[in-house]
Amino acid sequence: MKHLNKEKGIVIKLTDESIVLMLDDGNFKNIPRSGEYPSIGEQYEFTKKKGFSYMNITKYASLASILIVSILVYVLSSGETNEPSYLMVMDINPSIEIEVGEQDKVLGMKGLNEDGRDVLRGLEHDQHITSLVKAIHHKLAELDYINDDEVATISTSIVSIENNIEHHQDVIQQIEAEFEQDQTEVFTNQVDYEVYENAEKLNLTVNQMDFYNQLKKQDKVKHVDEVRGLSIKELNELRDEKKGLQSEQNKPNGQIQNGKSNQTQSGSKKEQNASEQHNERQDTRQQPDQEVGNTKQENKEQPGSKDDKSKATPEQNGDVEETPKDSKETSETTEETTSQENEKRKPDSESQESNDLEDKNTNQPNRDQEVEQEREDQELSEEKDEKSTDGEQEEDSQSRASSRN
Amino acid sequence: MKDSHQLNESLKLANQGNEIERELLIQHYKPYVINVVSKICKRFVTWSDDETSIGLIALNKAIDTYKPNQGRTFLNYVYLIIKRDLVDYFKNEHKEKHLSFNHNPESESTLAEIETSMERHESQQKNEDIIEEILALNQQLVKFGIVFEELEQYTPTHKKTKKILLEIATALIKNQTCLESLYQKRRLPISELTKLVPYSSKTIERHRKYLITLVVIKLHPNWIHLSQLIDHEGKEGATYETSK
Repeated sequence: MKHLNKEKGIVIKLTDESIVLMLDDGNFKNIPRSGEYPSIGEQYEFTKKKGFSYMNITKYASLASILIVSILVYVLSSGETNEPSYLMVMDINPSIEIEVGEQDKVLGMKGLNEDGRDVLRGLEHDQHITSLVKAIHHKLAELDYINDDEVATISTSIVSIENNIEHHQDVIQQIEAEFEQDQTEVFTNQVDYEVYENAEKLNLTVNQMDFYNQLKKQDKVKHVDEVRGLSIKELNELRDEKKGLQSEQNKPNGQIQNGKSNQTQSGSKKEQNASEQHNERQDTRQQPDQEVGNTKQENKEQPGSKDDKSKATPEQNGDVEETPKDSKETSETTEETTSQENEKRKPDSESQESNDLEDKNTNQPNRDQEVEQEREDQELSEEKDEKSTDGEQEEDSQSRASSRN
Repeated sequence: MKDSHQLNESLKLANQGNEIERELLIQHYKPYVINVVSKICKRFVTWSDDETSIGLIALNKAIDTYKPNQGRTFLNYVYLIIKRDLVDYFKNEHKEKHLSFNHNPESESTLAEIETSMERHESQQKNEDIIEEILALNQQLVKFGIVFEELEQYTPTHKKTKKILLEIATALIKNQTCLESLYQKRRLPISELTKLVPYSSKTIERHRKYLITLVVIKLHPNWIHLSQLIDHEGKEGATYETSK
């Protein structure tokens, strides 16, 4: 193989720096001229070694660089795919959090409560977000959270980790489209990661947090605990109720969902709210029908535009205290079926009195709890009699109202 | 390339006062002159050096005095004259130190002595024809604005590419319109070529000067040595592949 390193060629030109050769294979080659002056046409032999090794070096260098680049690309790309680009938090009452990476690939998912874990059980997480949403939809229907008889309420928030708002809009549209076919009320929302973190601190999901903020603005809720564990349907009803009279159609659904979701403290807090509403109803019964019309319109607007609500709250609050009780009564009455209700209603009557206090104290849970306990004690004594005796909820509320009046 | 007959005709015309023919001859042999001068001076010379002027004058003299019947090729004769004149020049200018052969005290450069050294030169250089071919090729390529030293960068590195280029060159030569267009415009008719052959214009563009060189050599089958080198490539490629 040694002879391969030597090449022969015919000198065809001398230049200042090099000898131009026409090689035996017809190629042209310039080789550096080192003090030689071969004549044109002369056979010239040179060792290819230098060029050869140089070529080898470039070969190896290019190979190495390709390797390095591919490793880099691999590392970078794998790093990217492991980083979520957004979170999707879905609440019905089963609360689900889905971690979505680049190109809408699902990276992970977890149930935020027992129901949520039930829903996710058996679902593969290595798929596209659209198909996962479909699967979840299917599972929800299977577990009877969504069915044809009742209107389910779902709230979904996209938590941006990477700012790609346009893309998130697409995802939101897909989700809305997925649930559109059913009689399902879908709220979608897009929030920053900061909001998500705040919600996590309060041990709420983003969606609950959203409702909580709205309810708080409307003065319907004074403490986080009142919201915690409520299903979205309940929250939604709560929100709508206070604004005005809500149609009673939704109540049956609410019952079912409550039944499933009331397992823990959540139930008790719902009912606190409910009892607040009862009190208000009694006060406001005098102004009935006109208000109903108004509030219905408002309600229709709400799902799309939450801002409207917040702006409208001052007026609504005014109304709420006086009028909308009828609608609230009905919805609340359904909720009250559980045995815990009695205890919880009582605190509500006091809550009006202590609104100011509570607003100031919301950040101080201990104080709140104390206040609530006191309230409960007082109210218990007052209202226990009424509630325990009522067989049906509607009768319950009516009797309450009448008794108060 | 001028074969001996053509050359003699040209020389005859030049001697009869045909200045154009003389100029053509000088242009043809200029690269040889500068190469010979470099070799004799043992340094690289340019056209602005005195030595190259002496070489050119010697060439002119050789055209006048060459006698084809004396059994010596014209190139050989030119070499002889240039060497003698340069030696005289160095002597006159006292630049002997530059000339290695002047270390020999006996080198009273008589024509006879130089002639004997020329014999050696001749024996070393069996391929005078090659020089003629190279010079002729150079003449042709200059028309296309190609100089030898830039051909390296247009030379294909892969045997496969070389074969493709040979194929393209053959196709071009067979197509009269392409060939005319090449010589009229002094450019490769790339778009026409891509219609002739199934190769991309990129390949042609990348090796265009080498391709022109191939075409020129192929158009002159009388350049035996160069043609062999080109064909050799094809055969070499074939044997290479079969041996593999």
